[in-house]
Amino acid sequence: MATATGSGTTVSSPEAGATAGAGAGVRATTPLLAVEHIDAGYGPFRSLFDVSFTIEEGAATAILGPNGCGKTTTARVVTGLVKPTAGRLLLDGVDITGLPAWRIARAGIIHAPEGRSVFASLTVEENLALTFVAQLGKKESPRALQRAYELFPRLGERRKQQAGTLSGGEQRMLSLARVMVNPPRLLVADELSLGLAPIIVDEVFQTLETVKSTGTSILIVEQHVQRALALADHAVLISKGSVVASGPVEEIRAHVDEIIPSGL
Amino acid sequence: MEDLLVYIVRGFPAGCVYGLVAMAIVLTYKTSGVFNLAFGAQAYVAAAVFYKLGKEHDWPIGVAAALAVLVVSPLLALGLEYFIFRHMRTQPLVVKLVAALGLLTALPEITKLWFGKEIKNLPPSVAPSPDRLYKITDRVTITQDRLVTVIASLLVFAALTALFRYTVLGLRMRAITESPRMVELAGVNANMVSRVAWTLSGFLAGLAGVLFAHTEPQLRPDNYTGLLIVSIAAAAFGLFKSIPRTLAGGMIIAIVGGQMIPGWLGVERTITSYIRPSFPFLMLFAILVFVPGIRQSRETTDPLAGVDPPPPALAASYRDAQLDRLTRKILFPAFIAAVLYLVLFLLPGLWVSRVTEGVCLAVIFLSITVLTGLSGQLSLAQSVFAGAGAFTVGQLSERYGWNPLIGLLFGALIAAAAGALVALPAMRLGGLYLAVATFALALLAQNALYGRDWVGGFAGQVDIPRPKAFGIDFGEDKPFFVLCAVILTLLSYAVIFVRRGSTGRFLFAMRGSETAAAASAINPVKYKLIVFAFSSFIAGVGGALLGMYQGVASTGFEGQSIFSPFYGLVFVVLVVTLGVRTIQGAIVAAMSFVLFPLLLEWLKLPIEFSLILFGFGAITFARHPEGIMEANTRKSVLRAAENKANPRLARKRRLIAWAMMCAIAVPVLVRSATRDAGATELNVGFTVLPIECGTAWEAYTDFDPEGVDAAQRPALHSACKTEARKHFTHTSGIKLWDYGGAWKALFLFLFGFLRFSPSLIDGRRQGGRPSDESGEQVPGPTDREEVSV
Repeated sequence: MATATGSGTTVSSPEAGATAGAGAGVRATTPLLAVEHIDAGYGPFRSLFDVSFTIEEGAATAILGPNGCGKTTTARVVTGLVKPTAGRLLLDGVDITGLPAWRIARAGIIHAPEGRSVFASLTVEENLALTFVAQLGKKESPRALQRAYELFPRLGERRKQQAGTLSGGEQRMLSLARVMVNPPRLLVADELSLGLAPIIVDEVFQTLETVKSTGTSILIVEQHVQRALALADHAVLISKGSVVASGPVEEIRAHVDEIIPSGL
Repeated sequence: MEDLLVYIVRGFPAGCVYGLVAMAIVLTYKTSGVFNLAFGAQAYVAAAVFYKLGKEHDWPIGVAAALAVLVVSPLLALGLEYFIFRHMRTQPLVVKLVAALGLLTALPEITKLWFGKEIKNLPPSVAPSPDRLYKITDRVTITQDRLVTVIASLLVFAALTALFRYTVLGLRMRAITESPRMVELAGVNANMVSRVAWTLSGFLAGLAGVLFAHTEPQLRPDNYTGLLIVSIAAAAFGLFKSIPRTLAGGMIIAIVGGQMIPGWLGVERTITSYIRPSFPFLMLFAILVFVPGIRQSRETTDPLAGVDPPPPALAASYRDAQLDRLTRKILFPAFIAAVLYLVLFLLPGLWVSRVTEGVCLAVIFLSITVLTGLSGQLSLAQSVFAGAGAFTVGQLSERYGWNPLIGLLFGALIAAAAGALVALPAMRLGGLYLAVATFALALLAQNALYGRDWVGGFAGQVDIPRPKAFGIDFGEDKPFFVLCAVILTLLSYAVIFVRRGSTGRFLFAMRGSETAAAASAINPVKYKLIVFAFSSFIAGVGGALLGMYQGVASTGFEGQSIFSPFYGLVFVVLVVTLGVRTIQGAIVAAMSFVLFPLLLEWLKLPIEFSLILFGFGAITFARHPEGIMEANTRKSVLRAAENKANPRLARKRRLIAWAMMCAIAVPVLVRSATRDAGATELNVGFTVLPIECGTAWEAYTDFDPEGVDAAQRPALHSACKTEARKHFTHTSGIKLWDYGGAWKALFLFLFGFLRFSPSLIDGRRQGGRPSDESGEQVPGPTDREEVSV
């Protein structure tokens, strides 16, 4: 259940979720990730004010909002790239606030960042190996590579090619291949469709569907509102750095037009 | 053919050592984004440990070398990473570069406290019998020492290549080159990888330091600075990435530049003496300017660079309106008036002289404010531009009898022309590469031009008279001080006008993004030319004034003239550390440069401490990359807001400030009232002599003040005074020996006031982050109008 403070559509409060995880012993009610009252920003500039929501195991949550409202910052806070100045992040009820990004990655939150997200000067194979060795260990890495090439034969053909010379779509495939082979607990997909041809965007969203069907939770940050809503179970609407509404997609749909100017 | 073999065998070991240092540079540059100029110093430290243990303590040579290379040097590198560079990962290149430069000057001095200041002759070699010869052909032989160097280096190269190509660690290091953050997102601890890389680079630097030691007759830090610069040329040849090409670069410098060209030209000819030391710098410059692939800037390749915050606005721009008026209209003019009054009517001659020197230096430093602060470019050649001004004035007045004031204008124009010439390569370079290229040019100028008699004079120095104009003889110290102060004021206002006007705005825009600026119809070529010419013009004026102040401009021997490239480094570090975006930063930097030695003298600390504090300055700088002055202003602005909101807190702070001031001033007054004047006078007076005069005098008499018995002191006292005046012609009026303790107290009182007073530049206590409420009361720049309405 996605929840938010100060919103009419709140279904359950994060406090309730946390106590359930700590005391009641009913594991199913502990959210995978709870974001509690987060403030964050860059240097003197604050871009998030008291943001709270939760992500359930296996569900896809979309963060929607106009340009510059703090969507990407939210994604960066979740994966530890930006440290919050206040508030907590709980993964399975465990506080992960302030952990370095690599620890959060090892705990199972994978970030596919906005824009180019591969190492341009490394080859395709090296790009994959870097992740697999870190997450699966040296022994498992070759098998994981094999699996990636089976899933994406195009990458297999270009394994010795520098990743920077791949097309935009292929680069997306490369970053998604890491996720497909070794499904994380939570995939943070930040503007994956940005700058891609519509046909490739379709492909990316199909892949996301597949990732979701393996049981991975997804936090999706997207400007293609309709596509995101089609994929997501829950949605969080952000405006000017604060959550204005959150809840199941069916309830949120009604609010979307108020917050986001039509045409986006 | 055999000649060729001779050249190769002779040059090969040196090439290996260049390659080792170059590798260390590339390694840290690629994995942590720090272009570590401190490697020269690190190599020196390893060599010093090796020398001390192996030669002076008679340890087995292998043990001494192993300790230096495998333990001390890697630990030192790790320490630098941990205490300094780790905190600067996301800072701009200039910031990291300046911290490294600070260490380059500070580390050898710190080492010398333990190693000893005396000359260290004949450093040992790692080889058991270093001078044993091995025959390659009948005519070609190689010593054992060199053979060891070659073998050790080649082994290390092979191991490193394998590490990078075939291991996971190597893969991670290559990935970090591109984006440390993305590596973290893959679940790799980027800090750890970077630490390993630093340790490894420390090992390389240590190895180079120990192997290099035996090739020079003496163990001196400047040898290692030279080694560093030559190695940068080798690293540039490898385009700052390829290991084999880096090695090849080292070989080309050592074999072609060091052996072949001198061999063909003839070793004894004058032209060879110019070309041989200049070759690496020429090569470096040519590579930087003509090879296109080298300039791919690191910042643009990190897709996650947007995570870093943009630089904040100047603190003064969001100061409370009332405080702003108070500072601008009352405190600042009052401060200036007080300084003028002090200098012109109260201070003894020595202090007038030092303050004048500070004003001259401030003019030079102002040029750094323009170039680095305004346009974000980093030039390490400012001391050479200053030299251009000084030498021109000297030559014009000596050869043609020109009035020095006209000569000054002419010298500044020549410096400006030189600056514009340097700007030509700057068109295509930025950041790091511009800094390295300017340093190469500065060294080139020193090697190829300073020795010419139409530049640096016949005996390595040019006399510069002080001007007589408008019926005033500026030969006297006080009129000259006024002249310098007026010029500094005029130039400062010129800089302020440029900064406020459209040129300043265009330069700011270019600092943000040159591409975006060009897209907004700003011609980057034109404005780069303008800013370089303007900045070197100012440096030329400052250099000429400094020359007039000293009465002479010397090319320096062993590079110790104020116009040598080494001081170009020191200047930039000093100004950037204290605050490069404001004019008061430049002035404070200059004043601390000249007054700090006096303070040390008074505290009875050795002069080396100033360079050591320089190193600690680098550490402070890691926390306040905007500069110490600016950090203080920011704190004071924040605290002023706090004080306003909370009068009780303000009262408490004011009490603490007064208590502090009394705590400092009272003991000083007591001490100065009770000190034994007769006993300390000579010592104090002697070492406080201006440097030129002191050295001249020491050379003249071989005089040791400690070793003279009390009865002879008065005679020596007056002899020294006369001698000092003879050598220091322009300071005829100065009273060298009579500055009293009261002035020290006043100085400290002022210092304490500036430091601890809540209303001025306060903010040492409770330096932590302000509470949230007051944080919000300090608005962004746009809110200033609201306050002042």
